[in-house]
This record gives sequence, C-alpha cells and structure tokens, in this order.
Amino acid sequence: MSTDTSRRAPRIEQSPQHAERPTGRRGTAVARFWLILASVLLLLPIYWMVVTALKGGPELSRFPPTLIPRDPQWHNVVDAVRAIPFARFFLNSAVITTASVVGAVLSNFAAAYAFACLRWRWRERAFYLVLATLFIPFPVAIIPIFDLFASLNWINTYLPLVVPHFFTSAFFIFLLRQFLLQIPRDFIDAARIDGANHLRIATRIVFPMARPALAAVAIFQAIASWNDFLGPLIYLQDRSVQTLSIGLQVFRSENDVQYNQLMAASLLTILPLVLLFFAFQKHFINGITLGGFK
Amino acid sequence: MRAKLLAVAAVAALVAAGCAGRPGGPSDTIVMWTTQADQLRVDAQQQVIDAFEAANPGLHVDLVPKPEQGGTGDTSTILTAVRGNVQPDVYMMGRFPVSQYAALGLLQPLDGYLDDAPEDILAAHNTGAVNEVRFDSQQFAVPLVMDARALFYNKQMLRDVGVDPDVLDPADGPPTVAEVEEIAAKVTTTGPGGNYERMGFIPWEGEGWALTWAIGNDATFFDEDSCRLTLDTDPGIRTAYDDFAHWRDELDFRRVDAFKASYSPPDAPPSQNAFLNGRLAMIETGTFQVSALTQYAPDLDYGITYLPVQQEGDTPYSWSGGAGLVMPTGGTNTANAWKLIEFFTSVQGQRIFSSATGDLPSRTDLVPEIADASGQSFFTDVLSHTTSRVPIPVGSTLFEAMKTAQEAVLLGQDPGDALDEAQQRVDPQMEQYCPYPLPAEYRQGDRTP
Amino acid sequence: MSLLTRERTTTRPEGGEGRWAWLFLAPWIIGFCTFIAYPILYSLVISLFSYSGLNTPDFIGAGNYTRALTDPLVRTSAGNTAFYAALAVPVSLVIAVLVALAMNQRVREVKLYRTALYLPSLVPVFALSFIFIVFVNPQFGLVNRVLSVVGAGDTNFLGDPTTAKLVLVGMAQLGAGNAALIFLAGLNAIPRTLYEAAEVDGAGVFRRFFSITLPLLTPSILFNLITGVSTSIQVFTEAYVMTDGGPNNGTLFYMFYLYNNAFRYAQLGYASALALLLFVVGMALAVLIFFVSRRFVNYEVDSA
Repeated sequence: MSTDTSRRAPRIEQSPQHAERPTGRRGTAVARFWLILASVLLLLPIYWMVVTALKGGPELSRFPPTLIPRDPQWHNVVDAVRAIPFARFFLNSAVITTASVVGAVLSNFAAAYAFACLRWRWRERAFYLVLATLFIPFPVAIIPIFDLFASLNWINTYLPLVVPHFFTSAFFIFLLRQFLLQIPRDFIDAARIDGANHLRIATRIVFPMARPALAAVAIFQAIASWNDFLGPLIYLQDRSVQTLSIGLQVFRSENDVQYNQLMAASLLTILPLVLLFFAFQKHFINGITLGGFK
Repeated sequence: MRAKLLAVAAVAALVAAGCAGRPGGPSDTIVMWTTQADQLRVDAQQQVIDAFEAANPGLHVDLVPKPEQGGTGDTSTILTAVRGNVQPDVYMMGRFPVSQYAALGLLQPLDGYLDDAPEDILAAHNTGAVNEVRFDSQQFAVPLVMDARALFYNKQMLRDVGVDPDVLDPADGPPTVAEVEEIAAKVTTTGPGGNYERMGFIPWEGEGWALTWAIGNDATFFDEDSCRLTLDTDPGIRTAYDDFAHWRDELDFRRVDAFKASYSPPDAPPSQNAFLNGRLAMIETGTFQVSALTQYAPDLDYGITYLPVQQEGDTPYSWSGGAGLVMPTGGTNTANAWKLIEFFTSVQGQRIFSSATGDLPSRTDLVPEIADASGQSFFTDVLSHTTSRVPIPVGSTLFEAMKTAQEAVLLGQDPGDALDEAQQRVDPQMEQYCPYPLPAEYRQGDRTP
Repeated sequence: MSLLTRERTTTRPEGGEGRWAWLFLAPWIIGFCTFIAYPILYSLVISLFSYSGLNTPDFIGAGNYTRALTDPLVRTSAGNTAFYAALAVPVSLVIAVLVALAMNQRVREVKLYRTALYLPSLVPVFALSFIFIVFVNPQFGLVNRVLSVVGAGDTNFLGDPTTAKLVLVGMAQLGAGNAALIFLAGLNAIPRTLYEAAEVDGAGVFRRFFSITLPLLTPSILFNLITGVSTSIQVFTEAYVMTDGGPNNGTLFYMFYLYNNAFRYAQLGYASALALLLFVVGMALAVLIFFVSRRFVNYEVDSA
C-alpha cells in the first residue's frame, strides 16, 4: 500500500488578485481615509479601555471624565494581575482553549471528510440535518447537559467545557466541508486505486491540504473558548478552575466596581487573541476564502 | 507527527489535572462563599476568620468572594453548586431570599444546632431579622448584620439656598413629605439646556423604592387567609404608586432620569454618586452609605433623619435587610460549618465585623456600642422602628415585580394597570406554596407601635 | 458538487464508503445523540413537570405550556427579542459588508487595519458593557455630546425600554468582525476579470457594487443571515451584564427570561417548555430562510 505523494495534490491556492485595488494615488488616499475613519470608530471602546486602565482612583471619579489620563498609573496593570489569581485564570483559559481547539479540529475534520470526500446514500440529507442543528438554540440544552455533567461529577472540572468540542459542531462542519469540496473526486479515487484506504488518505493527504481551513477552525474556536462566558459561569464554581472571562467579574461586587483594574485585566485578556489574529490573518482568511461558498 | 502526539498527550494530562473534584465528608477546611464581596467586607470577614482559626487551632477557612451578579434572589450560584455537588459549607447571603432558597430545598435547617447550643442564640438577635429567615417553621439562617433606611441630607446645600438644616433635625420627629418637597424645590436648579443641574430630592432614588414608601403607608403585602399577595388591593401600596405617578409628572421623569444617569451612572464606582458629589441634597438611603461617605466624601457636612412620613405626627418607620449565614443542602462538613457560623454571629465575631465595616450588628445589645463608634448613633433609634420585608418564599419575585411596576409607572403607565400586571406575575408563583403561615411576629421586629 | 446546487446526488454504488462514513462520522453521531437529541427529549419530558431541580418533579402535563401562552412576560420577552433581531440582523449585515470592503482594500498596511477592525469583537462582553455605559451617559457620554450639538437635551438611553434595546443593537455592531471575515472571503472569490470588464464598459463604483459584488456575495449573505438570526434570537449576555432586563423589562429577552426561570426562580419545567418553544420557532425560521434563499442566492460564478 503506497501513498504516493509524488503524485502531488493540486495545491489549493489563490492568487491575491481578487482584492480591490484602489486606482491611482488618489484612490489610495481615499481608501486610506475611510479605513482610518472606520478603524478609529471601532477602536473607540478600546481607547477608552486603555485610558480607564491607566487612571488612578481619584481621577476615575471625576465628572466629566478626562479623555487623557492626567496621571497615568502604570501600576494598575500590576495591581489588576495581583487582585485576582490572574496566572491561574490564564492557565485555565489556556488549557481549556488548547484542548478545545484540538478537539474541534479533529472531530470536525473527520465529519467534514465524511460529507465531502466520501460517497454514501444519505449524505445530502444528513447534511441538511447538520445545518438544521445550527438553528437549535443553545437554551434547550443548558439544563439537560448541566444535569448530565453533574451526574458525572464533572462540575468544577475542565471537562464540560472541553469534551463537547470533540464531538463536532455544525458551523465548523459546514466550513470545512465547503473547503474539502474543492478537492477533485478523481484525486481521491486515484489514491484509492493505489491501495490507500480512507483513513490514510484522510490523515496523510487531505489533512495537510486542508491546513488553511483548519487554521480558520482553530482560530475561531480559540476565540470562542477564550471568551466563553456562560459555560464557565455555570460549570466552574471553584476559583482554581475558573477562566479569565468570568474572573473579570471579581472586579464588580455589590458595593463597588474597580473600573481601572477591570479594564486593565480585560486588555490583558484579549492580548493573546490579538496577537494570534495579527500573526495568522492570512492563513485564516485563505482558509475561509477558499470555501467560496458556492 | 510524534511531536503532535506528545503535545496532545500533554494537554490531555493538564486537562485531567483540572479534573480533581473536592472530597466530601468532615474536613478541617471549611469552605465559605460570601456575597459580601467588596474589598472592605472581604477584609472584615477575613479578620473574623483569623480570630476563628486562632480560637480553633487545626481548622482552616477558605473564604471565596462570590459577587451576586443577578441581584437579590439570583439562585444560580448556589443552585448550580448544589446540583453539581460542589456547594460550600457555609454561605453568607442576604436574608431576604433565604425563605425562597429554603422553599426550593437549597438550604439545611439549623434548628438542631440551635437547640443544642448552650445559650439561646436567637433571642440575642433582632427579632425581625430572625423571623425573616424562617420557612415552614424552621430556622434557616443566623443573622449577622442589620441595615436600615433613613433620609440623608446635605447640610451645606440647604444652607446655600437659605434653609436652616436644623429644620430636619430628627429630634423633632420625622419630616413630612410636604416639608421635604418644599425644601427640594428650593434646591433644584435647571441649566441652559433644560437639564437639571442640581436637585433637592428624588423620591425614588437610593432606597426610595415603591416598597419603602408602601411600608411607610402601613402596607401588609400578604393576606394569610386567602394566601395571596395584595399588590392590587392594598391601599398602602396603591398610594405609593399613585405618589410615584404624581412625582413623575411634577418632576418630569425623563429629565430626572437623565440627571440621575449622569451623576449616579449604573455600575459605577461608589464615588460616582450624586449625593456624594453634592448634586443631590436629600436622599433616602441606608446605613451602608455611611462607610461610603467616610471613604469618598469625608468633608461632606451631612445629617440623618427619619424617612419622610405622610402626615405630621406619624410614627417613624424604616425597614431592614442585611446578611446572614446559611448552610447549603448536601454539605457534609456540617459540624465544622456550624462552628464557623456560631463564631461569626457571636458577640466577638460580630464585634470584629461591624467595627471593621460600620455595618450594624444584629445582636441588639451590641448595636449601641457599634453605632456610637461609627457615627451612627441615630440608627440605634431607627432600628427600634424597623420592620423587615415580608418573608414569603417568593420574595425576590415580589421585589422584582414591584420594581418593574415602579419603572412602568415612572415611564408613564397607570398605577392601577401596573399593579395588576405585577399581581399577575406573583400569583402563579405564590400559589405553589399555599397555605402559607407567616412567622408569628414578623411585622414587629423590635418596632414599638 | 455543492450543497445548494440542484444536481442529482450520485447513485454510484458505494457500499464500502458507507462503512467509512460511519467511522468518520462517529464523533458527530455521538455528539448529535448526546448534545442534541438527548437534551431535546429531556427538555420535552421535564417540560411536562413542575421541577425545581432539587425536589421531586410534579407532573402537570401541558401546564407549563398553557402558562407560557398566558404569561405576559413571555409576550414581552418574545417581543423584545423579535424587535432586537429584526433590527440587529439587517444592520449588522450592512455594517459587516462595509467592514469587509474596508478590509479588502489594497493598501500596504492593510494587515494593521484588519486587526484594528476586528479587535472590538474580541473584547469580552462584560468589559464592553461598562464602556458603553460611559458612552451613553446623558451628560458627558459621547453620544449625547454629539446630540447636544444639534440641540437635543440629555437623554438617558438606558432608561427607556426602546432606546435601551437600540443601545444593545449598537453594541452588537462592534462584533461585526466575524461576519466581515466571512464576507471578505466571499469578496475574494469574485474574479477580478468581472470588475475589469465592467470598468471597461464604463460602470461606476456603485454600479459595479450592486451589479457584480452584491449578487455574487449572496452565498455569504445567506450564511451570515443564518448565523445572524440564530445568534440574535439567543441574545442574552449583554442584557445580563448591562441592564438586568430593565428598564421595565425592556431588555428582558427571551433567553434571559428562560435563564431566569431556570437559574433564578428554579422553575426548570417551565424553563424547558420555554426552550422548546424557542426551538420550534428557530426551526421554522430556518426553513423559511432556506426556501427564500433558493430564489435569491446565486451559486455559480461564470467567468465571462
């Protein structure tokens, strides 16, 4: 049985020609103008977060609030990290996120492969079912799933937040399937004729080809897990397993809101995601692009 | 490929590590969750705990602040904890929802421990506070602190408009609503855009809930015979809402709301408060305001008097809430949990906590000592006139329904309609518990008629 | 071969592949049974009882459903959700398209802009809520400052049931990044040659947009519409953190009311009934959108 990789897979790549090219210098200037305007508008809340994070207590309560901190308290960041078990929350978020990403990538790839690269009788109808589940509102599942995990004694562990991702999600199946449909059927047939079974084809050949789409799944899942609020709210009661997203609530108690520390901690919370996005933009966009949504 | 497998294995190991549950059964570590989660009170609770650990070598208490996100009666924290079998041994919560939690089966009754205790613990505490946390003839909490409501006023702002603050001196008894309105009118000023810049009095601000005003009108809220809440029939309640409609029109609710949101925005640090910043002259608020005043506005020249009454000569009134300690269902470390509760609510424990926070203790003998030390001597007197909110198992639904009705009326709805809707909200909930006997002396507390 | 084309499904013999399908689909099948079928059945069963989660359930048949039909808060919360969705979905589609167009510009530092435009959707809702409360402050909040330029008095947007919902719709637009990326992908799939041909023919920017871009974006629009509607009818966190359902239940959304019944009032039977009703509505909407989409969505890109 040989998996002859000399017969190279057609690389699914796309030329960058499809982006709008603003015509001429004036076009570029206009484009830049709108871009800067849009960025400024959308970045206003972030700016406010940064400004608030740097304010000291007295300056926080001034009316009207100052737009630029008079006396930046850089130590707020350090205080915020000390005020809550930041390192612990960070670790918890990181472990849950990583494990969820692994689960999402593996399980959804498998399902998408079945829907895109295998032929079987009820394939199309089953896929409609998958799509339909996109519409099932999460509320239906909260209580039964909670009871399920409670009876398994999984409350206060990472498991309720990680394990479900090992069992696919309609959105990612959809995304990956679109991508995998690009692969010509003949190519897979040829590998079959060579003697490879589907398991080998899927893992050795198709999986590497699907890298951009898998990157997209990974990043989407990472962001979703990192920022997940309701899940940890319900399942993680113990400080030692809580995540950053709900850890932020510590800054708001019955009688007080530590605004500056809350903003500082929030900024630290999104920092990893920002870096992730910035670095992997291109892969990410390629991954969804090639779906083409046809 | 191997590297990937290793990575997956490492993650799996970490995940498994996060899977350790908490062992059950008696243990030297007592887990205590608290809704009193601001820094001041967390520190105070820790002080009590330190004293407890010193007196009980070998025992350790793990204090976990758990701010209540949904406001009063949000059972989600304890409900998920009990169902997931990860509940704390001791829980510090507001007393008002206790009977509701008990009705849902979330709490363990404490009668066994109370009966076995050497002294009659309950007798030493404020009767109203004790009765507030009974359900089905069982005791579900031991009170810790009491708060009470009163009218706070900014003396300087009054002087600035030519009003002598002594007019509001509590020695003359409670002011009438008419008096307060008159003073308020002098203080209230409008700016160029038509927006309020200063206000004298906002009847519904702070603790000025319709509920508060209704209590002042001697409302009874619940009719035991018909086992029915009386939102739509009680005249005391109706009067309160009619008054709200009247004030809404007279003060122009939208402008007041804009003023309030500007200077006392929601979810803001306590220092962003119209009263603390000298924008609002008079406000109905509670004992908890005193620590905020000391912390954020130490130079504010203020006075405290009874809540305004409808007519000259009416007796003063107020209502109290406050925190207490409970034991969630299913906990197995009960003996030690009780030790902690007993210590916390003992003379020593309450003294430590109240001195640190300024919150008045529920032990009636301790009140004068704490009140005098924290500049709240007046409240010793107020406490003798307070009642608690009606202790029914659907208390938080009642409170929410009344709050919604209040918002509706302020936004323009007819009071009768609003109350009818509120009644519709609470009826199906209350029906489940009928018949329901109220604790014998709930209304009185230590209130002398 | 794609889902939405009307090709015949293959009828080649595929006995062997069927078995492979089972293997690859195993996670999905388990997931479907555990996380979808089981909860629906469980909810169905529980909805016939009165159950607090801790006491013994009490059979009341269709009691929860009749209560739901007469409960004024169900009407209110459903109305709020419908209002929100009807507004948020179209607005967010438009904004996402605009953001995607922005992200698609060929300027050198586009990577920077893309990150900037995507950034707000990463901020945790909890923190974002506090920021927005400041933005809509009647006195000095940005919104009111702008309005005061045109002479309007200060308004507390969070103090009125309708405007509070508008604030939440506005807040949701900061999360346009995700939908924009989907659109960006769709934009990239449109061949340059079409635009060049149109330019040669003399079509202006707008004409090009409406005649080429938009029609060819319809698959992405459909996708974002589906996900948009799905998430809108489940709106919860913003209301939970910012307004607690107020004022006067103006931001009490359906899912929030459901959460309250399940976790605040411990009325699990009733909450399950509410969840199932939402499920039925969700499914109906999905079918509706699909049928409508068949007429409007273009699938093939014909390079001239």
